[in-house]
Amino acid sequence: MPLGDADAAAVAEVVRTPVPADMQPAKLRACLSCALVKAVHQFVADGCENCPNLLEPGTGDRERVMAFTTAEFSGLVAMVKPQESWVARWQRSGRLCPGCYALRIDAEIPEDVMEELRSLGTGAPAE
Amino acid sequence: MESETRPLTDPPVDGGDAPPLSPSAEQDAESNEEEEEEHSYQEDSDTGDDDDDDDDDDASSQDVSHRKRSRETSDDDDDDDASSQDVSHRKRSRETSDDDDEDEDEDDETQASKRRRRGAQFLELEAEVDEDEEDEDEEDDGHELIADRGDDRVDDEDLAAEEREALARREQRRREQALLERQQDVEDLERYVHERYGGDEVEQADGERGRWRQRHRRRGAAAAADEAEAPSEDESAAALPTSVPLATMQARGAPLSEIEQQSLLPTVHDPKLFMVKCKVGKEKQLCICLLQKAVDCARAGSPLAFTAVVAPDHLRGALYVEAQREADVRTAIQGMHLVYQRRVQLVPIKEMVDVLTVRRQRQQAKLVRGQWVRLRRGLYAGDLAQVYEVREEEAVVKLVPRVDLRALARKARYGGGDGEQVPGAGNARRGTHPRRQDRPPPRLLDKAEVTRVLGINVFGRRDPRTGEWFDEFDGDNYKFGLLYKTVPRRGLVHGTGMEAATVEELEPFQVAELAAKNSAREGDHASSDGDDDERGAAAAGTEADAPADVTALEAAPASAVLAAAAKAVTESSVGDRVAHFRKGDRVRVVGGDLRNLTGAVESVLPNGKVLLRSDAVSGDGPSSVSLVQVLAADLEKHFTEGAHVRITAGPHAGLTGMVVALERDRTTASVLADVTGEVLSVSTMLLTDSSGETSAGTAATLIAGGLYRIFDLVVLHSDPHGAGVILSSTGGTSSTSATARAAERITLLTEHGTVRTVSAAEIRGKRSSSSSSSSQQALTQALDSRNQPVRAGDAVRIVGSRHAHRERQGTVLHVFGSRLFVRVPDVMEHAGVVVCSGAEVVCLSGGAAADGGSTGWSHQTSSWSSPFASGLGGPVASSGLSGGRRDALLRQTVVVVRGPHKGLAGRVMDATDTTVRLELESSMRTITIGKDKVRRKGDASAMRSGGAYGNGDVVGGLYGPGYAAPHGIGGRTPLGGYTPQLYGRATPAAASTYGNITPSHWVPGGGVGGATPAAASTYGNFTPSHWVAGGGGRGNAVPAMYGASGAATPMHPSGLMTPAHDFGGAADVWRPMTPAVPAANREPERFNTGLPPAPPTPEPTAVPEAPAALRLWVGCQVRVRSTGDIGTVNAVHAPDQLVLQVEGAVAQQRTVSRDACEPVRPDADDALAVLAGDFAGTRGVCVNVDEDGDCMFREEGTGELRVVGVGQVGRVVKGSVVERAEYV
Repeated sequence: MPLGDADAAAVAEVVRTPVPADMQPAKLRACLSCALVKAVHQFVADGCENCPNLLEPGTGDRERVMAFTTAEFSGLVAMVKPQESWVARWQRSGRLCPGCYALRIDAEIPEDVMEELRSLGTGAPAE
Repeated sequence: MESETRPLTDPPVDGGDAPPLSPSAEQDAESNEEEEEEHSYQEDSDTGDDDDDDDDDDASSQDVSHRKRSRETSDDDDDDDASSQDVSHRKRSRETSDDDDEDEDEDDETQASKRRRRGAQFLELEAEVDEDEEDEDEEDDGHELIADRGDDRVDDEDLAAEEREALARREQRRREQALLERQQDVEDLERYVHERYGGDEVEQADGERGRWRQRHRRRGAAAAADEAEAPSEDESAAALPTSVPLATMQARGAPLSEIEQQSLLPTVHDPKLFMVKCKVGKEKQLCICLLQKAVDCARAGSPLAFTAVVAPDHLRGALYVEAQREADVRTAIQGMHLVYQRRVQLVPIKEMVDVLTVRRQRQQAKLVRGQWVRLRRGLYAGDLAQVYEVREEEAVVKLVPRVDLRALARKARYGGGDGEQVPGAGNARRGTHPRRQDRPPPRLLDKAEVTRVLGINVFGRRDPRTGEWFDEFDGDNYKFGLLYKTVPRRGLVHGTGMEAATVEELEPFQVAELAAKNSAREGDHASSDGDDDERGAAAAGTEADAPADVTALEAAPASAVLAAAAKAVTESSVGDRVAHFRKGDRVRVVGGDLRNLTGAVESVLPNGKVLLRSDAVSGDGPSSVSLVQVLAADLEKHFTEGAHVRITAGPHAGLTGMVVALERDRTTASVLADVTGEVLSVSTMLLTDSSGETSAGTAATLIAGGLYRIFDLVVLHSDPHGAGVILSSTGGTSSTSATARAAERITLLTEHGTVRTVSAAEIRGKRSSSSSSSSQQALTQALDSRNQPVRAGDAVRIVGSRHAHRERQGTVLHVFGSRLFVRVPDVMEHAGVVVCSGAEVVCLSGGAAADGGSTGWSHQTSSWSSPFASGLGGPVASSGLSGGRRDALLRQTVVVVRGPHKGLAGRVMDATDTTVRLELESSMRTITIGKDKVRRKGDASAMRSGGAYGNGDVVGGLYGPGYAAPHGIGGRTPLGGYTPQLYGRATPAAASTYGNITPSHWVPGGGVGGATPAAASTYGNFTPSHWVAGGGGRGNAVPAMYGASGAATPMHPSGLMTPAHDFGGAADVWRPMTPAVPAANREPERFNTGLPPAPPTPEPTAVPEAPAALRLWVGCQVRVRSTGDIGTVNAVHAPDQLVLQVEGAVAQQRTVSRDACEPVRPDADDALAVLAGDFAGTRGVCVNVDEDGDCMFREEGTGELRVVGVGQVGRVVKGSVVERAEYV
């Protein structure tokens, strides 16, 4: 079956998908901004694909990763084609990159982290 | 729309653990209204078809955009209007609103035209969606939507803007309303919406546009338009996503607007969700695997067609794969491990949201320090706990520990190792979930009890993280008896999902809090809590205050006043209240029109009401008004002082008692418990009237559903050689159900005086104390300090000098070995049951135990072993009386009236229930003969002869032949007739005294010449005061008696020992009988039974000590085993202590334990005394000891040669001492 351009792009996108490199739930963390779930070391190495200004790739700033990600999340959604997926739409991650996302972040976000999230413009609802 | 589409108002998001896709069940659950709605909904979808879909789609997307815009708070009036208008639609269609009448009209309208109806339905549909959302998020509460929206606004805008907007909205709504009324056609409305908002679509926020694009792309028709938009889309994509992913919204404190979200509800054009079963617990892993697989396949050029996989935490054992076709799903999961390939099920559209909806309360409710929570699982599942510390992913809660110390103690591993959490509770904790009823009951940890039960001390430990002091036990932290447990926050139930706390649950917390406060106040720095006490108290204070800003429900129980808590709790839930009422309860109406009406509960109705039979007699006749329905919430139990009540719940459940006082608010009553005599303060809600019960008193005593009663003597499985008296039971009420019984905890007082709590299952059975079988008798009868048998039912006085309840009188409940369970009315603790040994009491009455028929050897031994008991004790208090409890025939002279021996007289040496052993006077033979064949010789003569004997003895100190009188004495009859006082005051010479004493008492001692000498020094040590009934003179008199043999006179005032003392001189009279004393050979047995009274007290009881020293006579020579020293027994000091005059040393007296010495074996020509066996009491001179261990000796007095085992004899000191050598 020949692939259309759009499909080819989708495939390319899928191939770049950051798949959590660890199966153990304890090692997985979710980005506080976009709920992307990866293993800690992936965040440290690659940052967050959706939020490069929050977690910049390649900095290796582990503390920052720990501050802006959380292990307190519930549910997991593997988004393969977020643009087409109703799940992604419902979760409002339709425009995010494919990957694993938390269904819900349970953590209480400390105020300073919250401030930064807002200032980065990633989540403040009023903007 | 698809035919399987289901109404949107389906609810239960938190139906949680069962994955969606259980149509049948949900079908059942649907209510009628929902069916109606479904009907209309389907009608809609039936008629609607394509164009309708379009409309729907458009409308909803418009909705979204409008809403979005309104959120952005543009100042544009139009926008504002739009949003409010929108809202008003929704609001109107929801029946919940406070709106105008028109709304209702519209909703109620059923006769309107179909088109009109369609319009309404469109709105209704949305309304349903609203409700659906709310259901998901808030479980109930129809006003949440409004509140939420309000919250949003408060968050985003200042108040003025809000007000302005509200005004505008109201205005808009009015306009909208007018419009709606005007329009005949839903198309008008739609057109209106289009006109008004349609053009704005393109300018919608970027975040929304993406979605738009997707939709249009899916439709294909809109694809071109979409492409045109693409550049702007890319621009925004370069920036960070402006819409917050749903997942993080909540966490960011940006709660989702339901209105907004519901626009995203799945449509038929969206990919579908398919449920795939998988191994429980592997959902996330598989989710990641599928993603990886998708990536790999895409890389390999054959991309999988699914779009997403959901692994929700709240739906276990299932994966939800989102794809357009089922085949795609099958391809995706093909070959995957742990995925059950067979079943791929489509999730109905309306359930799709459920899959993604995580129960919110988990995130919603924040944990606050001091908050009340419940644990979700494990040993403490369902238990109330208070949050002590909140950490990132876990919380430290304090709760009432469920530690079974006994179970812990049984663990061999428990050696005090504090490293690992091994035993009991630990196992239960980590093992499979214990069934609730198997758990140990929650109780505050008692350090003292731990020490007592486990033999280890509970030490303070500083928490390495916080530096706070805790009591460390079994690897866990405790403080003031509460367990401080770290639990994952997910393991806590709190907020609305939590069952309200009950008074009973709060009580231990209260206790602990009090303890903390007290401890802080006292500044008890010696304790391990040290300086942390203040902290603890401060913490307690803040904890008490903190919940004030938690929800009201939780705040109330946290208050320090339990009563208030109780009130709050009981009032918090009508359901609870209803549960507390039973038929027949006396109640008073405290609210509503019928306030202050009293009555009795006739029945409890299911609707939270109670049918009340009023007390008030009205003129209309009782029938018309006597029965009223009252809300349970308006009722309280009504008791008056003096009412007899049963406590139905709580720690004292099952007890009955009398109401002695009522608090002013009448919510708490003081109940004087029937059995224990305690005054308990109990919430009236927990009381029920028990006067109607068949027998309140007996019902109260029933334990374990009637298996046992209070004060029963029971034996435990775990300790078959011990026994305990049931003091109380808790938790089980009187229910006979198995579960209730399992939960029942029974408090026992063991024979050691310790209290232990067991479950009914641990009890092996009852131990009867009224058994008459002779084998049991050893256990059902003990000897008191005077060696008188004591049995259940006897009145005794506790005389043990070290006994806590000395000088108190009570009734023997049970006899267990030598231990007595005595109920002392004055004592409050342990329901007045006191444990003491037989030797610590003096029997005051023959009481119920005066059974003439039975005579076991124990009678014999007692009589044998207490030669003085009667001699001395006769006059003193009870011995005479207790004598009455022997077998009526024992020691009596009887005449055989039947059989070959007819006509012969003899003395009863032993008696059983049916037979007697008779020593015939004529032939000196001993025969056994049935009781029915003998007849007692006249009592009167016995009396007389006894008197004669006594007289002679006392006055002259001569026994002479007169002593033969005992044969005739047998005078048991008079015994009862004489009060101790009488005897005590009687002159020593009083004939009656002697008449009183049964010969039997004399025999054993008498054979050897009376036991008194031993007592000489003994008495010397005793304070006269111990002679309670005997009079002070005795103590002084006695020593004198031993000073010089024969010089019995000083004795006489106290009297009655003398005969025994002097008896040695006249031994020959007695001689023949002595060997016959049957008790002698049983004596060792008696020791084995552990019966020896061994009173720690002095007393005339020195005599009873005789048995203790039976094998070692005063004057008898003993060798101290450890040193080899040989000494002469000088006195018997305490039960086991001998005072030895050690040879070789001048005046060296030593006190040794009797067990530490042994009699010295006599050699030829040594004076000896037979210490045991048939000849016990005989003295003589050793002839020789052969290698077989037989000792031949020449009996003193008669000069006969006798042979006994060398083990039965002991060397005695020659000379004058020998002359006086007697055993004690």
